[in-house]
Amino acid sequence: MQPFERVRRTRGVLAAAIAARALLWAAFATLGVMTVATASSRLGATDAPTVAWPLALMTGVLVLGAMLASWRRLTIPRVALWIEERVPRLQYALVTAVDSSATAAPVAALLADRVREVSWSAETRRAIARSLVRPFFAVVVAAVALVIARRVDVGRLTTADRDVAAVRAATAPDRSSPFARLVATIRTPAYAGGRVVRVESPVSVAALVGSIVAFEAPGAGQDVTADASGIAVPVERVGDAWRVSVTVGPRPSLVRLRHVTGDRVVALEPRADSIPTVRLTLPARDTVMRVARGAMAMSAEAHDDIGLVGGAFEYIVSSGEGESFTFRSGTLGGRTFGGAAGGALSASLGLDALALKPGDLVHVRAVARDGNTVSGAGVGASETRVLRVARAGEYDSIAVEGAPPPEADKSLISQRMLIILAEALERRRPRIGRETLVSESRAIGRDQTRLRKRVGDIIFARLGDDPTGEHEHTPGEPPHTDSEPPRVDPAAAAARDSMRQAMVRAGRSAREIAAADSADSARTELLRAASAATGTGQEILDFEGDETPIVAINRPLLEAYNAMWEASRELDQGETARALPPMRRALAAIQRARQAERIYLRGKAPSVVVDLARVRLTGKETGVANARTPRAAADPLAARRAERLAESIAIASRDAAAAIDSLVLLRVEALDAAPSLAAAIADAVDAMRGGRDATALLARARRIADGSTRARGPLRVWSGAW
Amino acid sequence: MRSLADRARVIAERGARAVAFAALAILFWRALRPPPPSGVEVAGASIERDLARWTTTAPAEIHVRLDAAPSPLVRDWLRALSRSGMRTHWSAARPLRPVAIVAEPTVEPDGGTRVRLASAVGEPVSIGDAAGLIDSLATGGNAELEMATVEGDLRARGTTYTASTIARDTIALRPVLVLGVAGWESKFTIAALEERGWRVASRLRVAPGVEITQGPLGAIDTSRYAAVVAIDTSAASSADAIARYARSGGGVVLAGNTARLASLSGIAAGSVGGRVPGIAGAVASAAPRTGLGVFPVAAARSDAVPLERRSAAVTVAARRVDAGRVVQTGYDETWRWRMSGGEEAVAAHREWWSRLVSAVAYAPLVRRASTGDVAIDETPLASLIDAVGPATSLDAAPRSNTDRSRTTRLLFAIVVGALLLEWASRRLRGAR
Amino acid sequence: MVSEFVFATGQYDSGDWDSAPLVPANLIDSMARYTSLPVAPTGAIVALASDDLFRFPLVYLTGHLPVRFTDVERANVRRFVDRGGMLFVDDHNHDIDGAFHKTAIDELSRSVGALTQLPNTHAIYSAFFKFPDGPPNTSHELNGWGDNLVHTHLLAAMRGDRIGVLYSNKDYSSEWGYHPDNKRFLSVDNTKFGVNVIVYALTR
Repeated sequence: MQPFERVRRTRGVLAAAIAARALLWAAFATLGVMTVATASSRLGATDAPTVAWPLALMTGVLVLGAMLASWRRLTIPRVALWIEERVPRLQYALVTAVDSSATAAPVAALLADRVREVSWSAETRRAIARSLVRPFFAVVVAAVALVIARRVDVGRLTTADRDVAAVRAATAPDRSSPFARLVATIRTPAYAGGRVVRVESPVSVAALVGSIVAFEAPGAGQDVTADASGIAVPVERVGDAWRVSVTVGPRPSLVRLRHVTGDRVVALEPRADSIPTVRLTLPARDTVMRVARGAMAMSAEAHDDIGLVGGAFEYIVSSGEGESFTFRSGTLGGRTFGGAAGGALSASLGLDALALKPGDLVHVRAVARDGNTVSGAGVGASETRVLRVARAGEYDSIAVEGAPPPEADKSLISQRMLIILAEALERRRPRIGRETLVSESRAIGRDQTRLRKRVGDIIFARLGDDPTGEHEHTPGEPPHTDSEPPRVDPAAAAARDSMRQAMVRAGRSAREIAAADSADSARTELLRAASAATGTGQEILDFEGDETPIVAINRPLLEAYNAMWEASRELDQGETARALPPMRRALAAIQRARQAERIYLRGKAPSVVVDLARVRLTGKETGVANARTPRAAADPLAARRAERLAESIAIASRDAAAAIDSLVLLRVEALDAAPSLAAAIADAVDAMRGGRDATALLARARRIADGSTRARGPLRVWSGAW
Repeated sequence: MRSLADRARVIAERGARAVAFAALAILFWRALRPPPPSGVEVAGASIERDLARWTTTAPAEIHVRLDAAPSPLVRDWLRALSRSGMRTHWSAARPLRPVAIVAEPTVEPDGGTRVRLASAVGEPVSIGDAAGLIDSLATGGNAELEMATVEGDLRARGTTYTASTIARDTIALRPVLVLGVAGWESKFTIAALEERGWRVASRLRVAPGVEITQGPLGAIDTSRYAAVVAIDTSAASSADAIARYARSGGGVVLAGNTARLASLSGIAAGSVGGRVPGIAGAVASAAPRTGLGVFPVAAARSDAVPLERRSAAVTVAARRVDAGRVVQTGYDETWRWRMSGGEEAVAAHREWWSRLVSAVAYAPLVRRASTGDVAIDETPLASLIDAVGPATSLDAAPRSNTDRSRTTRLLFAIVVGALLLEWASRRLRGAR
Repeated sequence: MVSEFVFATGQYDSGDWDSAPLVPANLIDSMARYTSLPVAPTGAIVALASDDLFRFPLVYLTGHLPVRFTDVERANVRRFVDRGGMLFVDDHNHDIDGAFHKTAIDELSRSVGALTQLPNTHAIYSAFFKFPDGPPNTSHELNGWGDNLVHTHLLAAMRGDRIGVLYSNKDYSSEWGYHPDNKRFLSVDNTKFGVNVIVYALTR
């Protein structure tokens, strides 16, 4: 390519670069004008003027035109000179070569060869890049400025700053406020270890009841006053700081620090010291003894949230009968725990030393104390176990003490509770995974199984190896006698033969084998009776080994038993909905069982039936009409709390600091009566103090405060109802 | 000699110049052309400014394009312009959906506001007050809300409307009279009402001539009582008075089988069916009243409104009797629900009885003196139509000023762009 | 229909809860004599650990022996009183130094809160019959049984202004523990205060 052509090409590239640079500067000018116009309109709280864009465009065009003026200087000689300046090794060969008037043909060829050897592309690119960098960044900056001007409400920014500053004044350092560097030092009571915790700029302090909280800040503390729940607290001068000390009481309270520059409010949230929990492991059950000899081992475990001081076993010996009783009491096995969080107790109660007589009762329990010196030692006690010494002739007497129907074991969850748990799980079904559903359903199923076994115990009372025993029948049912052949099916007979042979091989005696036989017959009989009672198929009964069951046939309990089987099966598969109907049938059956034939462990209670018709209104005296006083509303403060919350929310849009104070006060008052409301308010206050949007949190607090929407639904035909 | 490319370029430059001149000519022509004498349409964003202008320039006909139901101020302004003789039309840039909202005080001892909302299905609507959002309907529709507290005015906001209202009234609530025999049902019913905040007067019979009383006792009339609750048939001695009370505007709750009493059967919602026992154990379940015994409302009158059912039987029903209202509830042992129910049973029992009384209580409205400076706009779309008539079809709408200014800007951009293009091309190829 | 009042005796695990088996019948008889309220002709026995406790909003508790509630009994008693039930507890020993009183006070305090002295002007003393001097004395007190004291006040754990637990040291269990037919031998019916307790429970 001839030098002239090369220079012309370079001229084209430079022209494009000039054009690009001009465009960038024009864009910068346009964006700059738009940014200024937008910001001005926002400051003036008016819409951006409609001429803004045309004005900006005009500015851009003018700038473009001005920048493009340098195109005129892009002549061939000028471009060649520009190249010579950047490529010295050309040694003006290029300038000469392009000056056609001054160059003869042979020289032109020489010059062309000379020029051909040199490339100036790299220098050209560098020069162009340098020239475009600045305008490019200028455009970027202008674009960002325009975006900010359009999004940020500049007009309110200055006033919003003032508001934010006012809210922050409550928490952020204000050099002139004595509360600027407020620190709370919390010292737990001595019995809890006297630990010290420091909290800077506290909003609320949660501490054990009895803790001392000292609020300190540098400065003389002049004109600072303080009160806790309205009671004045003195301000002390300590070195170059001031201090206010309060004690955390049992109720939530507010500490208000006042100064001319502003107030500071801190909530005190008391944490109560729990009483120790004690579990008696031995003796495991109540006991009846014929002769009280030897020693009864006792053991227990105790735990406390802070620390145990001591523990012991307590016993009360009751002697007497009828209306005359005497009591002796004592403790044993006492020990100290030295402040440990947990510990064990053990002792042995010498029954000989107690000189127990027939009819005597010994109540034992384990007791542990914590070291609470503020409100008094918390005392926790275990369940009580009773040791009874049987009276002489008690086993031969038919005069029995009355007792109500036996309940399921106290530690067993009742059938009603199981229904509630299953219904709750069924309601949660859409929101939980299959695994969780099955796991929780099986947990309920296990409790159902335990209850079922207990019911089974009541039905199938065990009396050891007596094959006959006693049993009751419901009216109309023929009694089972030994002379009757057991009614079994062939399969069961084959199984029993097999079992008999196994027992022979194991060396069991004939009596044992007969007992097992009878157990099996009775089992089959029972199976049939249970099925007949409940109208269901054969059910598996849970007998163990070769125990001989006694059948106390109680039809409703059998029905409950079968229904519980069905429920357990469904619960094991996570089918709570299918388990609920049999669970309810079981409950209904239990209810009927209580009202039907009663099964007493100790016999029937005496009852006197009053002849109401005979005695009705035969009293010699008459009563006197009297007045009743009305009950108070359930929570009269709830409505007031809701009102105050709504007022605080309405204030928040005008005065955030006042709203925060109002909310903190409300939160402290709600800590006891409405803890969920207090927690919701705390979240909202945190957000407001942090300058975040608290709208959703305040709405949530409001819903908790007054169940804001008490009722919701479609338009009703009869309003006011549910 | 110019190359083909150069010649094409020159032609293109001349073409760009021609386009620029053509656009300039069109602009000149448009500038000379007068604006249409009528049918000025206003974009929603600047409507108030244009209303002010029209008020002074008084065009013969105006058209407003709305993208949302206008505020009461704009609506009233349009109505005024229309009434002044200006032909006023409006159309919607997008469908404006109807909505209506009303608020009234609930008949509850601790106050409260009931809000009824009817909105078009398909558009989400949120309901809130000055203190913030209260509730929302994701797809619109109808709703009835009861709020314990309301701050300021209530607003229902949809995409194309904002309706507002305020509870303008309060109520004067008098005590509730409970009549019955001393027993668990009367005890816990009175307890529930009192704990809920109702003032209760009561007369509980213990023995002949011996009653335990409470509160203002006198003739049963609406000046004394908001409602009368007859717990059991011991209310027979006051049955006539109760019936008269109901007919004169009072609210009556007939519990258990009290509707069998001669005078009360005439005001009851229906006759009393045979007692149906509750499902054993169900009182602790999620449907506790299924565990209670009930005398169902049998042969309900034609104007009776069933409020609660158990399977096919109606357990609670209400009806109007002349000026009053009567609710018949067949439950006679609701106390079992409170005692044996689940964790929320006490509060639920309390609330249920309160609502029962609230459904019929006589509570005359007391209108407040003023609503302050709160603007009420309960039916934005209906009010707009009432003010200026129904919407005019969009097709018939005249050209808008917005269109004119947009066209002008476009032509200007064409002029500038064409000239720049021509100039740049000439400079790039070295021409002047 | 009015559900009839059923007099319930509470059964607890640790002691002789059934030490006064004739008290229910006697009080039922008194209720029928003086009021027209529907009453069941026999009493019921309900375990404190049972859910059935909540079917009887008034439960009578007595005994001589130590009272030690199980966890379930304690939880039930607390829930029972919170929901509106009323416990009437009487020390059958009439001995404030006795095991029943000490343990019962301890257990009841743990279950429902502290028991405080009930003023003798309380509404229960005029709920049906008038007792202007407070709780009527019993013959056992006057004869020096038990702690040889005449207790002038009853104790109560309150729920608002309502009695949740009424506790007596006056041995009403002995005072009322006779067959109702024997009332004809008494010139003054000594069960009238029992009527007050029941009527109070039914109406407050």
